[in-house]
Amino acid sequence: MSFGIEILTSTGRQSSDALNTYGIFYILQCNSEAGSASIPEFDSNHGFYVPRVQNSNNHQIFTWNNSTKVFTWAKSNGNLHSSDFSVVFFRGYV
Amino acid sequence: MSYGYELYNDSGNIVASSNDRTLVTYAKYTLSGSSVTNQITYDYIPGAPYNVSGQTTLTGCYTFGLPGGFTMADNLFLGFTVPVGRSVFVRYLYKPAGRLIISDQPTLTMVVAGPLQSVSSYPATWGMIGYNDVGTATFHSDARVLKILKRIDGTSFNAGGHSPVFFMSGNYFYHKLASGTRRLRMTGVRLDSATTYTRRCNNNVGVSLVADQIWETDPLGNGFLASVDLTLI
Repeated sequence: MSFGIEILTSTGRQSSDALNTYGIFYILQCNSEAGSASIPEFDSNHGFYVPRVQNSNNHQIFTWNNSTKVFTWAKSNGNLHSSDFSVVFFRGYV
Repeated sequence: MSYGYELYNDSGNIVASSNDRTLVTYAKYTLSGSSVTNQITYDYIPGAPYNVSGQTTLTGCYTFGLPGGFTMADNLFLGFTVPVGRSVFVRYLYKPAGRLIISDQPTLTMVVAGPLQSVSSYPATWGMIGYNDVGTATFHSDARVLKILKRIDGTSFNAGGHSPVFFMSGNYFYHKLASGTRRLRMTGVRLDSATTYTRRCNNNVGVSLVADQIWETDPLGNGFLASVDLTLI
């Protein structure tokens, strides 16, 4: 290893290169069937998001505009959609 | 940044920050399936009709339940790995009811991941603990950090000699039945080699679909792929 740090762990040395992963940096709580939110810190070139809809069979259509930094969720059909779900935003430079 | 730490790799990119919460692997389970009816699966090709490209019939399919005693929580993620050449599909994975896990493999390895537990959950006799600016521990050197490689986007990966584990909810593929009803269908992957996979959608044998219906949403857009050393869990 020529860069970064190494940490002694119970399973041996772990270098900062090995830590190269995505982390959760923001969790958006959505309380409507459709809507939008501004997340200025998110860059889809270095991250992704994971919707977690647990109380509806109908899943929203999610879009992200990396220029305006606006995240939107819209109903995908005319049926009832969840109005209580979260979207987990990850960032990293893998 | 005025608090905590940032680690950079040799390309100058941040590989760890105390402001980000890494996911930690908590547990793994070996699931045993029950035999079910064969399934029809389709390769996912953006913009292509779902019932044309890559249609195959999976034979010898199995359905799986969550392990006894395991309780799902809002901040947990479930991942699955299969041998090369095999597929795994999920539907409603994070819903309390209607959850479905299907594979053409009789046993599956499931990995549970979530945010770092409280510091007291770890030995903390050596190494490093990182805190964010509100005092929450976001890194612990004794925690088994889940190495997330990428979003499940269909492109190849490098698991570094470890097992590729697919974390997905399966709630993304709509199609229309002949009656016009829209249904969410199972989404999943087939592991093609040690570095490649194909995104796939799944349908029950015998269900009448509307011909040439274009994908209505992006299957697997909400999943990610991680490299896991299963021997450590």
